[in-house]
Amino acid sequence: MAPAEGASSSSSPNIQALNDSQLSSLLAGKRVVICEDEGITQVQLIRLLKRAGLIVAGAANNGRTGVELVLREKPDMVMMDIRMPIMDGLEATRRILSEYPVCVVMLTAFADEEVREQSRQAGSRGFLLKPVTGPSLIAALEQFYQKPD
Amino acid sequence: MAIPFILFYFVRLKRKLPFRPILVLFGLFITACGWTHFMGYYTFYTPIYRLDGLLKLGTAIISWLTVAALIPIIPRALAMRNPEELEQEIAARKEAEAGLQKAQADLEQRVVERTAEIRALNADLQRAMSETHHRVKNNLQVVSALLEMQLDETPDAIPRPAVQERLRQIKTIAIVHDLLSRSHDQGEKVDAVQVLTNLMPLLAAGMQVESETNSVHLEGEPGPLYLPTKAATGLALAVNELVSNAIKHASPPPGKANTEDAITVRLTRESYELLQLTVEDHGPGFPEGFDPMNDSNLGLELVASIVPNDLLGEITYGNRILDKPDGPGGGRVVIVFPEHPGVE
Repeated sequence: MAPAEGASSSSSPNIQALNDSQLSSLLAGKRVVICEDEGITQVQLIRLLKRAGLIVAGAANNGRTGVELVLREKPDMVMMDIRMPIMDGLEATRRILSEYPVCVVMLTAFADEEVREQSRQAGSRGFLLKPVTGPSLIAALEQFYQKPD
Repeated sequence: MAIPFILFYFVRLKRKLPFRPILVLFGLFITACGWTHFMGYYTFYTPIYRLDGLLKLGTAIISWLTVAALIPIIPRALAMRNPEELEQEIAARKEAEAGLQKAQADLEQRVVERTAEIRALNADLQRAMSETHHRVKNNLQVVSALLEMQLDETPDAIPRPAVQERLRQIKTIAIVHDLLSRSHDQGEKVDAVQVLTNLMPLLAAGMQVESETNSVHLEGEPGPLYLPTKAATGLALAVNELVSNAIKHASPPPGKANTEDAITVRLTRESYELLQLTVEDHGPGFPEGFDPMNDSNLGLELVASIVPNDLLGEITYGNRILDKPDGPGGGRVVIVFPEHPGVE
């Protein structure tokens, strides 16, 4: 996997650009679905993504609802927490991608090699390690969005 | 002469025979006796009495030697066991050996079982450690999110009251961690009544900063009422935000406060599976159709997300039903949530 994967690519030139404008020229207007079971993190992500110009099409707090939401809303991008009740993010990603090709970015507190490999096999485009912060989050999302399948 | 021959033959073949010298002496003695008998017959015809006398002397010497050799070995010979006794001893020893082997096998089995138990305990401990690390990392994410959102609200300089609010949120999360670290019997669950009880002094301390005329108290379920960690943390954070909001918007004017003006936090059982949390104040109350998302209030926005996501519950903003038409009114926020949110 490319070394740029992860949200801590502080050397990315995009970060400076984001600090100046907050808007992401690449992602502005794109629709995103968030799958995250923690309320406060969900609020943070919604605020960050909206500020970068993305449209939050919906948010789910478990994998099963996430799959339904994505297949109904057909967004351009999905942010997927791995550890969630009812259905985890890996299984939800597999189910989504088997029916609808979309850029899925995993979001997790821990990313050991096993989780990364499972995530790759599930078909995700990249990985974001919690805690996430605005500029690095948007920069990483831009990279993952441009990355070929 | 046959007897000594058989004795010598036996001694020669049976190398490890006990008291071997004695048998040799016996053989010599019998041989010597045989010769004296033969000499008794021979001297009848030929008088060679000197040789006969020497032979008898030799026999006597062998006889005394045999006696001398026999005396010291008598105790040893007495101590020797007969074949039956030996067989009994062998049987007893075999039984003891079998017992020993069984004890050893039992011990090995116990070692195997204990090792398996220790491995299982170790695996449980690893899982618990992993769970703890995950919870800590998630809470760091929450703290980081709260600080970043604050930074967005006030990008140039964070005002002191805002820092105090964030500190209170961090301390609220710490209350759950503190209780978790002290209760080992409930696994990943924590007593929500105890969490709220411990939260009250923190909220009261916050009130004194805001206004000395406020007070807050907890009533309802005596507890314990165990909730999963995530739900208990969400509940504590929601109460923190709702009470902070009540302090800001429903404080009685200075000098006009009385004991009835207290903010009340009430945790009750709504039904078998549902719990209800109520926060009541004596302020002006919420306007009809109040939407916390349109109120540009980060605290209430957080509550609006915590309740459905962390508590899997529902929240209603309303007003207290007045006891008397002209009695004190006030806001009333009700959160209804499942006691076991993990159960489908």
